[in-house]
Amino acid sequence: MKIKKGMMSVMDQLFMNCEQTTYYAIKELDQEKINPKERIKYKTHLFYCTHCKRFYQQSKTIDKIIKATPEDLENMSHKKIKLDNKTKEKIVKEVRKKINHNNL
Amino acid sequence: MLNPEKWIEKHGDYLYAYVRYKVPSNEIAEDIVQETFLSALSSIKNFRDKSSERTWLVAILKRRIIDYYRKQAKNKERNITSYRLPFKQKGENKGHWLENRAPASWEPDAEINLDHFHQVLQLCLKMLSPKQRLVFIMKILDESPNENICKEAGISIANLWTIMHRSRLQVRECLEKKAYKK
Repeated sequence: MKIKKGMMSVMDQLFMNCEQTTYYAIKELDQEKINPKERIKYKTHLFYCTHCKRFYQQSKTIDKIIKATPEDLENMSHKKIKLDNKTKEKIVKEVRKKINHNNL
Repeated sequence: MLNPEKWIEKHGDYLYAYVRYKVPSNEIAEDIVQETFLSALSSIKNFRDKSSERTWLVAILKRRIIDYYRKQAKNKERNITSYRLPFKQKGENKGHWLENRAPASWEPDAEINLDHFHQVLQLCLKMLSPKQRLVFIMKILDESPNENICKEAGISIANLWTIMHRSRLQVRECLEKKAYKK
């Protein structure tokens, strides 16, 4: 929904401005419970404000990438991330050392 | 008796892929994988097949990642953040996005080059103060409970949300500038 600038200020007085909306939007993204009144206000703002909507969507994309598991990464980029053999050998050596040292 | 070769062969690549893009470099990721195996070894007697071995190792790995950022937050690194919020601070449109800093449209997910995106993400995380970075990672990556984050970072709950708000605005804007703007 597109709204003209002047009209947006009026709407913001009724609901919330962009600074407040982004504050509540991130709380919800981070699984924090928010008061239903504030929830309605920020959701309404998201409905008419393209920039805040983008902020919300893009923050979700960033989260998805930060949280990505190896399976997600493979689906996203179609490539497998692997340890090189030298590093594997080094880790095996360290693990073996600890096993011997601790009599495991 | 545990066979180290088989153990690392079975889980090494998976753990490395999990951590690689969550820390700044290959070397740090490799160290964290090694620490994870060593730490798992110390508590192997406590591991009873309640969850799968991999789930157990990933939980340890996640703690190691948080530890990495916790150590960074303890370093007395100079605070380089002088970030100004991207909203008008006075006048009729107070609280609106500043025109030249409002979110632009990004390309669809499918076109993201992950390697590039992660390199830029790490650069952008560096722009946060170490404490901000710890809070940001604990909240997003680990979904840690608020009390734990506040305790680790020595902040109040109100402060937690101010930090998250600022950090998310700052990281998003930085990513847009460095990864998306042509």
